[in-house]
Amino acid sequence: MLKADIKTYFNTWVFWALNGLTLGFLVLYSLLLAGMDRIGLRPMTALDYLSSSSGIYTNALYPLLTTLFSAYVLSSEYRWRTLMVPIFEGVSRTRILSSKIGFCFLSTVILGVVYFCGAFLFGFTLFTSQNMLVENRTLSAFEVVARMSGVAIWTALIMVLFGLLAMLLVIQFKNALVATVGSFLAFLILMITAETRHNPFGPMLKIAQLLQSANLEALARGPLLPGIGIWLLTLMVLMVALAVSFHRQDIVLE
Amino acid sequence: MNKPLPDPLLQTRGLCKRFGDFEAVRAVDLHVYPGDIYVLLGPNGAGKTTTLSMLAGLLHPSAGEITFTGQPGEMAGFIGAPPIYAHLSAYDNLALSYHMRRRPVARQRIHEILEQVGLAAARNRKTGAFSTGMRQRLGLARALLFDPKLVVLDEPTSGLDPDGIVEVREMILRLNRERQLTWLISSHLLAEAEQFATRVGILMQGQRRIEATLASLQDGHNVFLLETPAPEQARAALPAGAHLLESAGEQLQIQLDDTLPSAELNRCLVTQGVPVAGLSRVVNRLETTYFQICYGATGESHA
Repeated sequence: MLKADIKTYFNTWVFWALNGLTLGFLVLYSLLLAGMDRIGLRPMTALDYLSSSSGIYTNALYPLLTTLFSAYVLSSEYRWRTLMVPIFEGVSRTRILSSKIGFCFLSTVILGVVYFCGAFLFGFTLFTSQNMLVENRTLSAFEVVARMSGVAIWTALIMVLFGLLAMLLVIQFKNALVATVGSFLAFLILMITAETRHNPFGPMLKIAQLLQSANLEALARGPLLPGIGIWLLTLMVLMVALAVSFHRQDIVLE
Repeated sequence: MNKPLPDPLLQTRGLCKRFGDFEAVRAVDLHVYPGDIYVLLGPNGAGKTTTLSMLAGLLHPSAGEITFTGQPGEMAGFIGAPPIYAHLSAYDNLALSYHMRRRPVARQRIHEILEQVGLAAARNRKTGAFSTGMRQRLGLARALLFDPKLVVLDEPTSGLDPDGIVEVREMILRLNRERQLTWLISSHLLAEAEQFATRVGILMQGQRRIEATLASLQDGHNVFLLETPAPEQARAALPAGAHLLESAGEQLQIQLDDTLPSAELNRCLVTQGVPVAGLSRVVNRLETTYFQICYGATGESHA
């Protein structure tokens, strides 16, 4: 089923448009910052650039891409009426759903890897200052790559939750726009309120930020374990809600 | 003696579907036997599509049970317009079904089936540009790809031009004849059903009104049409067991008791000097039976 989804969605213009826009954005953003650095308008180190580009990716681009793509993949099957194809082929609803989740995760992770590889390449070639100073400690290039990879991986894991939320909204409302906006807004609200005591998801959302900017001991002592626990719990709740609502749903295709 | 019926390939018992307070399908029992071309008839809103959607697994029945004796995946078809990935070619649409079943793509089989449905020349074209007829044929190709035991189609000729309707009908009949493929088709076109159905079920307001072979629905219950230039003489010469139902000009409608064969009636009339120009069994049109079953004898309420 996953292979079928790969064949289906790798051939859609939406998939290539989202990827193209993301990578196009990275190129333009990198050239802009590098230009400003070269002419002295806004001097920045490679680490500054990496922090900035990964911040935009993890806080805006990746959440938007994940929610949009998850909503698109599932809602398209309703819109195209093709959800009946695997059902008639005898494919279980669990397999249909897990394949869609797997495909969305896979494609956004691939995009994340490409984005971060591009960012590393631009960071280490375009910027004159390779000073990697964080909290009075100079990081090695390896540590920078490791930390940024950690940011990318943790962001991908967090965004699985919002991808699942988007799919849950598609099942309820059969509308990609409602699902994307709803899920993205949920992410934004949780991010904005991450520092407040009332947001139970705070520890989970702070991990990526701490991975790129603070010493790792603070992370290990602070939000790491509660954050992972909250992530696991939320994942399980969303998976169960998604599976139950998809299984119980009468699939009415207009 | 009648041949005993085999076990049904597909059977429903007390199938119900409620949408809130509205009961779309009420305690429907269907029996589709191997080799049948079963046509589910009924007016719009009778519950045909809902019933088929439950059989396909798209809708969950509110009550009742469905028994399909084939393996999962041996029931194929589509409900409503055929589902198509418009951005993919006809070939790729069919190849996807192999991926869904985790089977290696059989290129030869795909080409063969596209040839069968008349889409060989269009196999590499994006299906988004296909006409309704071509989409319908592609839907059929997908349904037939893995040699299913039962094909379920919801109004398969809807939106087709006359040529397309004939092609689909011919294909249904050919595959039923050559491969004993069983079909379950919903339709509201009585004339169409009459041309290929072997068994008919009539749904009305969510309830099954009748399920019978087409032949038994068309059966005039031993009614014969006698054509003679001497109707008065024929009337007087009718033997016991022959009951005159109607006469108009030189035509008499006669119902025979089971004990009186039509050959005996003919012999009796001829020996009494009645000139018999013709004696044939009356076959009811499905339309007549349908309206009798759905709306009562006169069929007034459907108008």
